[in-house]
Amino acid sequence: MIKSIFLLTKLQIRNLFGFNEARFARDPKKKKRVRTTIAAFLILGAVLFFYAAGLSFALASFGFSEVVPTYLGLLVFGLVFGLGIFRAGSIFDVKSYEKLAVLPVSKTAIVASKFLTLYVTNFLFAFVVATSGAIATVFAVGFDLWFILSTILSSVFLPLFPMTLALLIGSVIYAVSSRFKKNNLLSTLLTCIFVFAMMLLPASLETDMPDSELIGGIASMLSSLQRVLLPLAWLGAGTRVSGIGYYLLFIFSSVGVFAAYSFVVGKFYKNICSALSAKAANASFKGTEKVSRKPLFALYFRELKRYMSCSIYFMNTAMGNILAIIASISMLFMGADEFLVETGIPSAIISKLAPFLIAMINLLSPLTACAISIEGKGWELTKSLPLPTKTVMNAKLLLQLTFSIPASIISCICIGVALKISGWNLLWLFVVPLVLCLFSAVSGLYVNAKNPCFTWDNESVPVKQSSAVLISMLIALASGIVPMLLIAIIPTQFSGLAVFVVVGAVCAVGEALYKKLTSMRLNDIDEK
Amino acid sequence: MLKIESFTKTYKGGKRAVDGLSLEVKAGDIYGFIGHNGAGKTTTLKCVAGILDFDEGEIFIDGKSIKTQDIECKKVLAYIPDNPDLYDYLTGAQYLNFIADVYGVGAEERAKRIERFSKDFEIYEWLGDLISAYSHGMRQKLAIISALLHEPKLLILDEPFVGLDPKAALKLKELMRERCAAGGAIFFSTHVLEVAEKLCNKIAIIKDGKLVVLGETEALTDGKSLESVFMEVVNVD
Repeated sequence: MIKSIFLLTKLQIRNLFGFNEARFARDPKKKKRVRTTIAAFLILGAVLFFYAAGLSFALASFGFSEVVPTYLGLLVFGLVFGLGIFRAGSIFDVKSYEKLAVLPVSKTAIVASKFLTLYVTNFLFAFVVATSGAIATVFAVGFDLWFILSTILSSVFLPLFPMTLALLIGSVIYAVSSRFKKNNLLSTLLTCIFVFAMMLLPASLETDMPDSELIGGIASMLSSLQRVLLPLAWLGAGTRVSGIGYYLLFIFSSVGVFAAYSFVVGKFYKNICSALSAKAANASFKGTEKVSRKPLFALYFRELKRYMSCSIYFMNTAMGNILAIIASISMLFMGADEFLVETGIPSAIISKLAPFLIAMINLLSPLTACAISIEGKGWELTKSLPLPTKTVMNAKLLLQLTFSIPASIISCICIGVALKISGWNLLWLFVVPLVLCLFSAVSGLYVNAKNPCFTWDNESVPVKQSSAVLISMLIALASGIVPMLLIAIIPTQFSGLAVFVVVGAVCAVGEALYKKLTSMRLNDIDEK
Repeated sequence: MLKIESFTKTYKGGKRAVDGLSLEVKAGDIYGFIGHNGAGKTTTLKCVAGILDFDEGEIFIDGKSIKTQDIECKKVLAYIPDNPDLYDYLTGAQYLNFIADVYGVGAEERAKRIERFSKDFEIYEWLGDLISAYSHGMRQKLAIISALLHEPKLLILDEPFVGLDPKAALKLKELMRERCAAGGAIFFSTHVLEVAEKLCNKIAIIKDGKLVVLGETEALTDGKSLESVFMEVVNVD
C-alpha cells in the first residue's frame, strides 16, 4: 500500500509547476512558463510571509505570544480549507480515475495519492506561514528553541486537518450529486450553499472580550476559535515545552484524519466515480429546435455550457463575484457605521475606496484567465473554425461580463445605499468597477493567450495552477490596491482627479490590450 | 481465464447498457467482441477491467471475482482503452517505468521488454520525448507496450487497431497470437470485421446491450463472411 501511494503520488506531482515538461520539452517557452509560474508563486509567498509575520509580531509584542501558533494555524486552516472545498473535484476526476483504476492498486491508495498531490502546495503555504510567524515572534519576545522548532515542524501537519475537512465535505457533495443526472450542476450548487453557510459561521462566534483594540480583539477571537477548532488548541498548547503531549496529540490527530479519510473515501471511490462517469442516456431524441444563432452567440453559449458543466471552473472563478455580493449585502444589513468600526476603515475615505474595493474582490479570479487553457485539446477545434480571432475572444469576454457586471452593479447599489454615497462619488462608484470589469476580462484573456496551458489531465491545472491565473490575480490585486493607496495618500481635494486619471489610464491600457488580443492569430496561441 | 455471468449495467435514467451478458474466454482464445456504436462493448470492457461498477452478475478473472478481489485480478490483466489518454507531461520512458514499477517488473526485465517492444513498434528513439509530442498512433503504440510489460494473462483491448499504421497493426496481431500461444487470452472489441474474422477463434456479437451471437468463428461464419453474418444479426428487429 505505501509503495503504491508513493508511486502514484510521484506520478501526479512530477509535473508540479510544469517542471517535468520544462525538463524534457525542446521548446524554451515551456521553461520560461515554469519560471513565470514560480515567480508568481514567490510573490504570493512573499505577501503571505509578510502578512503572517506582521500580525504575529504585533500579537507577540502586545503580550499575546501564546496565541501566535493558533493564529498561524488559523491562517493556514482558512487558506487550505477555503481552497480545499473547491478541490474535491480533482479527487473525483473521472478521466484521471479511469487511468489509475485499471492498475493493481487499492482505491485507498489512489485517494491517498490524490490527497497528497494536493497537499504539496498546501504544505508550501503552511511552511511560509509557520516560518514567518516563528521568526517574527522570536524578534518580538526572544529566542525559544522549542517554540521555533515545533512551530516550523507543525507546517508539515497543519494542512492535513483543513484539507481532510474540506475534501470530506466536497466528497459528500460529489457522492450525493453523483446519484443525479445533472451531477455537475448539483455539485456546484451544493458547494455554493456550503460556502455561503461557512461565510455566515464567523458571525456566530462570540468573543469573551468586546475589545475595541484591534490586536486585543484578534487575540480574544483566536482564544474563542480554539474552543471550536480543537487541533489548533492542541497546537497552541503544544508549542510550549510543557505541552509536548498536546503537540503529539496534534500530530497524531492530523495524520489520523488523513488516513481515515483515505480509507473511508477509498471504500466508496469506485462507486462514486462509476456513478459520475455514467452518462444519462435515453436515446429518445425527437428532433431539434429550429434555432439559428450568429457565430458570436453560438460560441458564447458553448462557453456558457462549458462553464456551467465544470464545477472546478465555475466555483473558482465565480467566487470573487459571489464574495463581492455577500460583502456588499452584509454592509447594507449591518449598517455602514458598524461595518466601518468592524473593518477599521476611516469613514472619510470609504466612499472613495469603495469602488476599487468592490472591483478588486469582484475581479480577483477572472474566468478569462483560464478561458483559453480550459479548452485543452479542444483548442485545435476552435482554431479550425472559420471565424476571426475577434469573434472567438469576444465570446469569452462576454461570458466573463455576464457574471462580473451584474455582480458589480448589485454590489454598487448595496454599498451606495449603505454608505449614502452621492454626487461624483456615486458616479465613480458605478463607473470604476465597470471599467475594471472590462479591464480585468481583457487583461485576463490577454495573459491567457500569451501563456496558454493545454496539456493537463484535470481542470484544476488550468483553473488553479497555471501561470496565467496567477499573473491575472496579481494584476487584479495591483489594479485595486495601487489606486487605493494613491487615494489614501493624496489630499482629499485631489482624490476625484486621481480617480479620473486612474480610470483613464485603465481604459487606455485595456483598449491597447484588446487591440493586441484581437489582432493575434489563433494559430499563434499555442504552447509550442 | 475470463468468465462473465449474467452481467448487467444500467445507465442513470434506467436504460440498460448491458443486459444479462454471459460468456467465457479461455486460455489461448483470441475473442472478438463486435457490435454497433453504443451497443455496450466499451462499458463491458471497462467493467471487466475493474474501472466501472456494475449492477448484477459476476465477472471472474483467472477464477477471482473483479468485485471482491479486484487488485488480484488487475495484476494478471492489462487494459487498453479505445482512446489512450496517457500522461502528457511524462516522457514515454517515464510512463513505461511507472507502469513497470506499479506491476513490480524488475529493472533488467523491464529494460529488455521496453527495448524489444518499442523497437518492434518503432518508437524506441522517441521514448525520451514528452507524450504530448506523440501522434495518436504513437500513443496507441505506447499504450500497447505498457500493457505488455508485465506479461498479462488476459489482455482487454478496446479498438486496438485504430490509429495504428499497417506495419504496427501486423506486429500487434503477431504479438496477440504469441501471447495466446504462451497460454494467455485476449478479449477485444473491433469494428474491423476482416481482422476479427482472420484473427479470432471466437466471436461474440452484442446488440443494444444484449448478446445475440457467440461461438467459434468458423462455425459462426460457416462459409459466409463475418460481415454478412453481422449484418444479418444486427438488421433483425
